[in-house]
Amino acid sequence: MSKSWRGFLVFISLALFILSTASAGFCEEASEVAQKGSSLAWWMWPIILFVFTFLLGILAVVAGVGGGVLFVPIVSSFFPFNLDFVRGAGLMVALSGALSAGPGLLRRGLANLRLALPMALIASTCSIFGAMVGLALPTNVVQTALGATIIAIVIIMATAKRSDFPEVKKADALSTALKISGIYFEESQGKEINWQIHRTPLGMLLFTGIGFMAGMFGLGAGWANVPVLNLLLGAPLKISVATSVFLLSITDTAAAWVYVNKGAVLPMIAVPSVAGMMLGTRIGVKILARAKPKAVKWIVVSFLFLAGLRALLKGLGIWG
Amino acid sequence: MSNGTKPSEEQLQYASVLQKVGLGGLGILILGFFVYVLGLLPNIVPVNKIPEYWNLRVSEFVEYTGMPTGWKWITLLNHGDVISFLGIVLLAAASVVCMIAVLPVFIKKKDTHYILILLIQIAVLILAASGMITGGGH
Repeated sequence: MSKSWRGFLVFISLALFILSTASAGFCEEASEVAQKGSSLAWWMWPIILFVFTFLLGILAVVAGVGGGVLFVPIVSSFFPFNLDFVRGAGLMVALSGALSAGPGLLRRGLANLRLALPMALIASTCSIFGAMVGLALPTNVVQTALGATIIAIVIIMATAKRSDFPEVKKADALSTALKISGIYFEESQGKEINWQIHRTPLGMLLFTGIGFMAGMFGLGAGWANVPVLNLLLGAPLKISVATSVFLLSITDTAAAWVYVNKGAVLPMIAVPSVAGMMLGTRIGVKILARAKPKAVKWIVVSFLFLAGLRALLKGLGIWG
Repeated sequence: MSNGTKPSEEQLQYASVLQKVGLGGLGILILGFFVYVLGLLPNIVPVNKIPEYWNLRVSEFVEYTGMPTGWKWITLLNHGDVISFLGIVLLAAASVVCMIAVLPVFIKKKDTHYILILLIQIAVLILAASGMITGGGH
């Protein structure tokens, strides 16, 4: 990676850090805002949120971390919005990203509809229950659980291995009955790869938990979808990543409706976040084509850990 | 792309519908937001008042502002904040539209398992969208 790109990415990381620190400062005014209004003009907030999510979108792609999973812990830690609205916006961020990437992934045969639909049915149903529980529980309980979950996600991200082409000697009976298998062209090897899956019932069981957490915390669930599809079911890594993105478009839809109907999706928070994250993701994809710095992944994962820790301590009433 | 790697008919149709609905939803989301913040239509909650409420739980927010919940917004489409909400609803509805669109392909192929999966999935999403199931409030 050239020095100029490295400098650019470090600049983005620093800008994100400064913005979040500044937001946290404004955040402390939050209780006063309720009584006498903020010193910051209302129109500054969507702009700050747009810039913040734009930078977050760039870093998310370069670091290979889903934007949805970064959004909720970081924005809820450093902005004055109630966690209900952050989770509603987080679902819209993850949903809009999945909706815009989905068509291309399906057309290229990387996302697989037959693999996604049974998993999506289970995950989306459970995400509704997750959303209901999340909106019913007291904020500090959800915040504490969110913090603990984010720290667990950081550990998964840091330790989980991935397998480009897992070996599946024999497809299980359920995946055979559902005809879940496929062929895709692997550019790096210049040949067609046949794939099939195994351990489908266990995978489906895990998607109940993934869906529940996605709904409860408003997180994109790529961090969990990919290991289950790739390491447990045995789908090739590219198929797993693409199908995971597509899966989110269904899982998050179900939970999003619960938040929408409750009034927990505020356009003032959701729209700048969706726009910033999508624009940032596009720029991030262009940067990624030129450079894939490992250091950025660790900066983002550290940032996520900090946000998780802050959420945990905030929920426990120790910090903020 | 060889015949072996070519995605199935239903997958291509799903992609096509998803692209149209997704793009339309995003366009309306952005357009509606500008109508909202530029004050082109009256708002239920003035934009400058929103920061006074967004640190409240959603149940308190709804109580203080009188913002509609469920599908009550549909009768208030002459308001900027409701218009900006329309794009959100369209994005949330995208998947169910795609599933309804590909269902005939599965029926044509007599793919019983997936017809059943799709029918249950459509029912789940419609139930979630109906507003009949919501979380409790605090």
